[in-house]
Amino acid sequence: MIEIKNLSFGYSRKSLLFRNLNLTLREGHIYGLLGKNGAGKSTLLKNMVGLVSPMEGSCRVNGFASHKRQPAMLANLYFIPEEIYMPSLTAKQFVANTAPFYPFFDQDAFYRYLSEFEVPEHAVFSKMSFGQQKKAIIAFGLATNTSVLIMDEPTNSLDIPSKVQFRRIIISTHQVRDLDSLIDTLVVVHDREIVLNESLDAISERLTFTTIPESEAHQAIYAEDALRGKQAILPNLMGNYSKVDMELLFNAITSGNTSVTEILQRPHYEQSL
Amino acid sequence: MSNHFNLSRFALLFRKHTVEHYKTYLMSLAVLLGAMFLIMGTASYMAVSPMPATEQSIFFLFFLMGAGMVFSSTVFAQLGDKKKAIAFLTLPASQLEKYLVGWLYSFPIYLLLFIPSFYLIIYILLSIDPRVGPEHEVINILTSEPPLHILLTFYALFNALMLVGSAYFNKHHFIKTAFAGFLGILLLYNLNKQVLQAMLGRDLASAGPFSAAYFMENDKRFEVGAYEGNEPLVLLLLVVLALVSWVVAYFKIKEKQV
Repeated sequence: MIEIKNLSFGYSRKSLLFRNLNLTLREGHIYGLLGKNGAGKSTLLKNMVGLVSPMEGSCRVNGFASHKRQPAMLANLYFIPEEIYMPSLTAKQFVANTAPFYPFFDQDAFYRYLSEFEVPEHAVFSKMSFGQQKKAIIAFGLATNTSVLIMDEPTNSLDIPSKVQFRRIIISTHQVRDLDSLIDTLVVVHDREIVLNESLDAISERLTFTTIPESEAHQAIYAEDALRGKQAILPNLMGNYSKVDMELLFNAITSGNTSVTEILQRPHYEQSL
Repeated sequence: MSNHFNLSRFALLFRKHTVEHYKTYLMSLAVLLGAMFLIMGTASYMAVSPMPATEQSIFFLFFLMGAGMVFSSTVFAQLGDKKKAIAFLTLPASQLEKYLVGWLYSFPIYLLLFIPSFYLIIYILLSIDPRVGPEHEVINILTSEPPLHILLTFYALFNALMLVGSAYFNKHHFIKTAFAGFLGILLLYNLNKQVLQAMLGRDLASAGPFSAAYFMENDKRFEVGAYEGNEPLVLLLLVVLALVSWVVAYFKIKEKQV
């Protein structure tokens, strides 16, 4: 579990990226962190991993203060940054020297993922293409079986077939419900705050994502031009399920439209039978 | 398992570091052997007589310090590269264990490899020099000047300062640390001179730290100082400085942010 309490952080005191930020991420979920360029997504991940120290507040991973980078915390956390470093070793050599640091490492699973990604086992990592290196480190990260796996833009630099392979592996390892939505909970960082931390199920219970004719646009909380009419977000008054359009939701939140977040933050009462 | 130091985890880390760096280290050793052979060989060839032990000890000092400082400045240089720094800092080992691996390589292991390498080159050079007779003297580092304990103390200090530099600077670690060192020496010298001038109430020609104050009067040079017999104290000070710098290097790594 990751618990961030009243976290303030910035690379200088004058311009803070986060102020009094609170966020709790629980085990067993796949969170998607969205934010505009420069909103501080990677910096937030660095705070979680302990690569930077909070100016105020705390960030704890499985109960350990992350900035202390204690082995007990690091052994149960794996971080795959956007830009990775791979030594001049083969997969076998890398596993022999790095896997012993991770108590739950599954060697068979690692070679299975490598084969699924079509990464050659006997090739030297540093001589592979960046995409191949990325797939190898994703395979290693998944095989560590740590309770927290943090990936920063994991599919950047992967080609289209590799992105499909990535989804397939995540689905097989994390019991994700369908190919399109690997993420089950959405976290949006905007204007130095976490403006949304909701599961996709909870979002679709309260909002409907649909295409409506131009004439009905006034009913929408938020709408964007589409090829046929408007892509819109409406309150889900009938309790019907609709697939969450993450891009539309993100645009609505970051455009300054507060109605969406107000509806999502309203207390939710379940109807008794 | 301790979050500060665990022997089996340390052994794993040492093995990982060795496997990932041994090729670079072996290449560096080969470069050092080649450089020593070329420089000392040229000096020996140009000289009218075979290299005496006193000259060998000068080369020993020069190579020990020079190569050691360059090598020490690279030990934590990976922290200046964001990608390598992330891999290094997020590896599940304590920061003390990570620091100790670097320290082991740059201090005891370096010395254990450097000394036999130096002797190897000296023996090769003397064996191929036709002017060398059977009685020619070879340097004995245990008895040569400056004494080994002073050399080691200075090496410890330079190693510690270079480790601080390699953890502190992100690029050009050797140049920047050496530059910072020269600036520090210049500052210390001037500060010391100013304080002594104020204490003695006169202008001084020179006044180095832990040395004498020199001044001219009626075209005569005077020396004022109580430094004789202070050698153990100065040596102790250097040891303390080295220890403090090692601790500083450790904390630089512990607090490193990427």
